[in-house]
Amino acid sequence: MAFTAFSGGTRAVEQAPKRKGWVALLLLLPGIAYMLLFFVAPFVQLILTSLQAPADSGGIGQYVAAAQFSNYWAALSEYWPQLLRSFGYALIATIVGLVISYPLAYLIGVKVRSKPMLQGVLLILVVAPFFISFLLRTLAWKSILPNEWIGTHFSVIFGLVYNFIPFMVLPMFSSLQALDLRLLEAGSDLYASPVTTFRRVTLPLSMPGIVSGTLLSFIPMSGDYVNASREFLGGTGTTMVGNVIESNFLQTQNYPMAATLSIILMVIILVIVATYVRKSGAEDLL
Amino acid sequence: MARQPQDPIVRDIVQMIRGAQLSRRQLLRGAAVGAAGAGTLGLASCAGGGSSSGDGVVWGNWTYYLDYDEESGSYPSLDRFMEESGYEVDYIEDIDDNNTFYGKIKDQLELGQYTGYDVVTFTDWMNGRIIQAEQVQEFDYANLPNVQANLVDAQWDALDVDPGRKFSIPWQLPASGWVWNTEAVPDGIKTLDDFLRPELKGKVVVLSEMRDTVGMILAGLGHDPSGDWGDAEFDEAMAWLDDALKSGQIGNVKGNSYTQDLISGDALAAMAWSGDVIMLNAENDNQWTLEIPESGGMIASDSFTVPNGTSAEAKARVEEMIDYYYQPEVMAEVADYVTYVPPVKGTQEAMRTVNPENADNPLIFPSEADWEHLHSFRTLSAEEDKKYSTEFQNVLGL
Repeated sequence: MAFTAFSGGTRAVEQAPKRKGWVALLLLLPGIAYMLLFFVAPFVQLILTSLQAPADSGGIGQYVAAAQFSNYWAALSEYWPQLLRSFGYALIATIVGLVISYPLAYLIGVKVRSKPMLQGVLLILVVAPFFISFLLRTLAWKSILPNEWIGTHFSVIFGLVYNFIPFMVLPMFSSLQALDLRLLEAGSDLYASPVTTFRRVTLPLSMPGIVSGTLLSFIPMSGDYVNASREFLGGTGTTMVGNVIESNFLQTQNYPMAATLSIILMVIILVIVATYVRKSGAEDLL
Repeated sequence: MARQPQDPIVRDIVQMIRGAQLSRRQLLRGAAVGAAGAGTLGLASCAGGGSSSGDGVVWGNWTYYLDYDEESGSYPSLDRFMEESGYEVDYIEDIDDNNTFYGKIKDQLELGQYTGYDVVTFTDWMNGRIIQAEQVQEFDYANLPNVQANLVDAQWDALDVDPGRKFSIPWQLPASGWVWNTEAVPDGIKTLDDFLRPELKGKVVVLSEMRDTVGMILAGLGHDPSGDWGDAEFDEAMAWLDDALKSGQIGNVKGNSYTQDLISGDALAAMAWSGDVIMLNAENDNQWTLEIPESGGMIASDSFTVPNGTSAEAKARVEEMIDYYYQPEVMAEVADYVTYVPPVKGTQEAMRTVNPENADNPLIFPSEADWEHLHSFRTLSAEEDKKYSTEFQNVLGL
């Protein structure tokens, strides 16, 4: 609209969107090509793999193209405990992470805003672990935690919370940093208690940060296969769906099962995320 | 030492940790080898279908599976071969797991294209698969006089789908048995049920390699792992493992990193690979005892095979290299470093010159009695392999 508002005549109005369309398409082309090559094509391949049937030879890793939709039922009936465990772990770790991250983000984004040096130091402390390999950090916890705790639900959830906290703190900090403190003052002037001000002003205004942070954590947590791996913080009773996918791809070479589980994981995450975003009233994030 | 965690990234980390337990030089060596390997592999992969590695040989092998000189940062026996033959050998230690490595080259194997390696050393059960799939080339024994003369008798027919070793030639024979902390478990582990003693609850680790763990459980339950066992015996072994895992008696199921659990004391007893325990004892004041169980331990073969995509010229060079390593003096040098069972007759005598201390080590040179208790896991049919591997992974929660 802005483009056409200054153009005057009807002819120009008709031509402008056309030119704009071409330019936009040209600019979008690399992005579209990238998406087609690195997302759509592998995704289609994944779907085709998930529908494959065992080859007649019966050999390991030998599958042929088919439309075996029963693979999905087989995956769900065989691996529902791991799927349930994955989302259970991710949910608990997200809630625990939120309880830890929000006050931290509030401290950095609001309380110490007047002290830029301290704010910078605190931010660096949150981000610093990123400079060390994810795997090494997780392995370090294996040495720190008591032996009896390794391989338990606690150790895996602990690992998830620890590893994904920065992903939660940073979006929340970003929201809280943008919070206009005069609104809090106004709330106070209007005789709102601190709790009410928080509930009616701070929380709603920081909701985009909360939603982004929890999503940025929950999604990778659900598919994580490092923390729950037996080589790291997990045991045989803590395997998540990521571990099962890895085992099916690399060990038993049951590619259709691995592909099916990957798609099921993706679909469940999409449904959970869409519902969550809709309920939280942050549709513009999608 | 040959076995590594399944995930390559995890393997690198575990190696780093192990490196910290070893000397700084060994750690640096790991990095240097990794970097060199990555570079060589990159170049090898660029070679494309049908071509081999120029005038040399590309050898894909397991980690710590060739004698290495920390001082010079080189492989002495291989250097000598290169000097004698005039061939360049790109030696790449990047087989971290049979399944994952197979996955890496499987497409080229299926298409008969060059895999990036002129020769590889899979374990024999995987060799059985690729031999049956006709993806490897037959050796020309006219080029292998030392192999003909020196391969230990028991190995000629050890791989049932390759009698006479036409397609596979053993490189090392990793043996597995039962290990325990000598001080903490003074009575040792003599029967399978000893692993279930209450004082060992949570302190037992078994190997994630199905054939070793299931083989030793089968043997402990009175079945011959190399014999004619079937679903009923396998299910019995799985039930034993499942109960031990669910009750918490077995604390974990691990790849190569079980050695860390032994060092830290998290594991007091384990099913283990012999070479690892020799190294652990050398570096940790002989804290552990490893025995081939009376009921039966496992012995496998990691054997040379030449994929179909390797050129005829490169195959001839590979044969020359294999034949070189089948000289007892050369193999003794390798065995002194690798500490697995060598497949070459006369190595024990040659070891008396190379390192007399290792010449009578029963874990490198098993006694006649030990050989009677060492079993090979029988070759599984494709269907059995799929079924049993899946069941084993399921018991591990996967």
